[in-house]
Formats: sequence, structure tokens, C-alpha cells
Amino acid sequence: MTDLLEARDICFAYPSVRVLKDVSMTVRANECHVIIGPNGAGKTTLFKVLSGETLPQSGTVRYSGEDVTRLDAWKRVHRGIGRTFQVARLFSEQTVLNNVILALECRENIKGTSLGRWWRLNPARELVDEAMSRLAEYGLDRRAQDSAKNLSHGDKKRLELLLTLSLHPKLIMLDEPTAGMAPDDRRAVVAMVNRLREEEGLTLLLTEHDMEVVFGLATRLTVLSQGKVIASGEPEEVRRDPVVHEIYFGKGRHHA
Amino acid sequence: MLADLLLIAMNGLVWGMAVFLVASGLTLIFGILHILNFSHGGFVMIGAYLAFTLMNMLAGSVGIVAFILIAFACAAAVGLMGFVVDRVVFERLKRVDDSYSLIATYAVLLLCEGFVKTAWGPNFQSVYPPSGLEGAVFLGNLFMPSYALFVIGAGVIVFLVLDFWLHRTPSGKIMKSVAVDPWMASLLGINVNAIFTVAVVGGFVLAGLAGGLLAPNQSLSPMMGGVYIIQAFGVIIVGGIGNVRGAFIAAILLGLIDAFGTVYVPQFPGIFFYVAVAVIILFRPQGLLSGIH
Repeated sequence: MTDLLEARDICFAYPSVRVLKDVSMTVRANECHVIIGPNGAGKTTLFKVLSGETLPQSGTVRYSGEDVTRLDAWKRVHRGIGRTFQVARLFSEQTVLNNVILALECRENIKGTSLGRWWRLNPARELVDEAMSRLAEYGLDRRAQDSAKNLSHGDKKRLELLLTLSLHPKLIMLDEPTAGMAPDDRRAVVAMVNRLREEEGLTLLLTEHDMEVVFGLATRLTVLSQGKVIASGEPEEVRRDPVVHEIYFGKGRHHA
Repeated sequence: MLADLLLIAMNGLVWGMAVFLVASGLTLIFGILHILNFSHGGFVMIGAYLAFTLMNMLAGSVGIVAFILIAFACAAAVGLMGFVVDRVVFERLKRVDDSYSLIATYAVLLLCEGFVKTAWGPNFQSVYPPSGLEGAVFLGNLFMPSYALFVIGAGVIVFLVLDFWLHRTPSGKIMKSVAVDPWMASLLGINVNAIFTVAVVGGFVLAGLAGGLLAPNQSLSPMMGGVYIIQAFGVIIVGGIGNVRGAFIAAILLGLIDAFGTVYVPQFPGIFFYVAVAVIILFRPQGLLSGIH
């Protein structure tokens, strides 16, 4: 398998605290790589560095062999990196349908087709139809005309994922995709992530707290603790790692 | 009696639409970049002086079409200045505290005033309405200067075009998305910095257009930038900063209040605008409408 995303010796510090200390990790094509670690371990900061929201003080990020450390976030999106947030991020004043249409127009814009041209006066009919059928796939079609802010927590996360996937990313980064979800919804997320990887060939990078979810979908695990990578490898291998066991599983907490 | 009331209302509308023409670009830039552009009035002034020069070059024979073309030329020229100001000034203001933006854009206003004094001199200048608009028309038994009706029409058209663009077109929606959440927009692959530049240039184009269209409305002086900016600020604060629809409604409302106030309490001309602004923001500090619309 080839390396799709590679972080090498990433350091990031706020004025008073070092958040990431020489973090190196590799995401291979078509794997589901899960980053686990206690709260405050630096998972979200690492996500910010990888997606272009913040610049690391040192270290490099490479994507498909290209150095993207200083590349603007929107350019990384054009190269095929998508991401979602712990708290779903949507255009909440807009309708659900308009959110999806906007994402589809952005996809057409990235592809450079005439459907995404900025001087159009109306969204193209085929994009509206595509948006409706995508919403139907996600069980959101009956909410199409509702304002996105009125959706339930789970529906917001589903819509956010739909928006990100609309851009046809190669690598998708999900920050705690099951946070705040009921067990049934969590299982649905696991099933969907596995389907994306196996059927659509996507590469996934996640952070996740729920161990049932982690072991339900991870093909590789990286453990972060206090800004350092303390273990990385196959899920079973990591589970048996004595250091990880001590600081992570050893305290008898199932949900760290 | 009714005719009097209508005449006062029409005067209020003319004032309101003139101020809306100025305020539209100001509120657009604030709505998208969250920068309060103090220099906006200065660029309206430059637009007006450019129109003055261009109309003088045509030496008295300016028809309506030529007048409108001149206003568009002023809009284009000021838009170009906007591009430069964006690169040199606004680009640096995105990551700093708001107070820096006020100081920086106020400095640009001073530069505008200095530029106007140098290029056109400190004296008052005046521009006559183009031929075809210098007369007056009867609407029923209302006697209205045609240029006043032209200003009302121009304000309404600019509002309708902006409103249609922001609400109906894909590019307007992208503009709004960037205004609401630039980070989310960039994760959809939108080049947010380019959108910011488009917004600034758009705001300056509106300033230049307002200057060109309103040049015949008053005597031009190097101080007019400051006068415009105060009235435009009042309108966009009452309308809800960043909100084009709000600015349109507020401009009409404040125009009517000021016109009726000046007629019924002639001892205090022009004070009712400020009183109304103060009272409205006392009860609705967020403005009549909020968010970018």
C-alpha cells in the first residue's frame, strides 16, 4: 500500500503549552486510520495541522508525495482532502437543500465544469436533482426545505458528511464522528465508514473516543498522549502494547 | 395637504436612496470582511470628483446615457483603487483587532481628502444635472425635479440587483457562505481570499458608482467624504451592519423621519436623523435585520 498522507516531526505550541511534540504518522491509501488518546492529547490540533487550519512551528505534511505543509486549506480540498468537525459545521441559516447544492457547485467548480461557473444565475437543474437524490440516500430528503439549524444532532452530522463527500475526496478526516450519538447511530456510522472504505475506496483518518467504534472500523491505530505518538500499528498489536495498556486501557476506563 | 405630505415623503425618499447608494458598498464590505471601512466616504467623494472632471470634459452637453456611462467609468476607476487598497491595507487587517481597522481606514480617508485637495483644489465645485434631468416633472399634482426621481430609481435598481445577486445566484450564495463561515467555505474548496478581494472591489465599485450618480446632487468639497460616511454609518447601523436589505429599509425610514422632522420642527434641521438612529439602536442594538442578507 502507498502512503497517501504523511506527517513528519510535527511540532505545534501555543505560547504557554506545547501541544504536539515531534509527531510523525503515515496514512496509507485505503486504510481506516484511527487516532486515539485522552482528551488534550493533541488529536484535534493534529487535525488542524493536517487540514491546513494552522501552521505547525516545524515539521512537514506531505500528501501524495507533495509537500503541503504551507498549502492553503482550500487548495488541499482541491487535491482531495475532506474533513468534518466534532460539532457539525454547516451553513445553518440556509436550507438543507441549499447546503447540498452549494457543496455540489463547489465540486463542479473544482472539476472546472460549466455547472460550477460563478456567473450562473441559477443553480443547474441537474445539481438540484442530484442534491435531492443524495439527500434521499441519507434519509434527509423530507427535511430538504428546513433550515439546517433545525436538524437533530445526528442529522447535522449526517448532512456534514454528505457535504464533505459531495466533493469526492480521496482522503476524509472525521473528527469524532460518533460524538454525542446514540448506540444505534454509532453502529450506523461504523457501517457507513466501512462501506466507504471497502466499496468506494476512500482513505479515512478519524479521531474517536468510543472503543467499540474504534475496533469496529480501524485498520490501523495511532495513540497520542500528551502530544506524543506512543504507539502505532494494527489494532490488536496496539491493544497489547504494554505502554498503551498502562496509560490508556489500564485505568479500567472503557471510554477514555 | 396630501400633496404636501407626498412631497415631503418624496424628499425623504430621495435623501434615503442617495444615502443607500453610499451605504450599500459599506455594508457589503462589512458583511463579508467584518471591516468597517471608514474611507468609504472618501472614495464616494473621489467618484464624484471624477464625474465632475469627466462631465466638464464633455463641456455642458451631457445627456442621460453619457451621464450613466460616466458613473460606470467612475465605478470602474474607484473599483481599481479598491483592488489596490485591498492589497495594501485590508489584506493586513484580517487577523488584527477591529480598532486597527478603524485607524487604518480612517488614515485612508485622510489620504483621499488630501488627494482631492491636491488634484481638484480646496474650493467648492458644482456639477449640473445632465440635460434631460435638469427639469422637473408633474406626478399628478406633485412637482418633482427629474434628477430626484432619477436618484430614487438608481437606489432601487442598485438594491434590486444586489439583493437578487446575494439571494438568487450561486456566486451570491458563495459570497454569503464566506461571510458566515470562511473556514467552512474553504473546506468546500472555495478560495476565500479571492472572495474577500471580490467583495472589497465590489464595495468600492458601489462607492464610485454612488459618487458618479450623486455628483449633481450637491456641491463638491474635500469634506464631503466625512459627511457621507456619518450618514451611511447611521443607515447601516440601524439596518443591521452587513445587511443590504436592512440598509435599504433603514435608508427609507431615516429619510422619511428626517424629512418630516425638518418640515415640522424647522428650528432643528437634520437633527431627527441622529435622534432616530439613537432611539432605534436603543431598542434594537443589533439593527432592524441582522446577518448578511
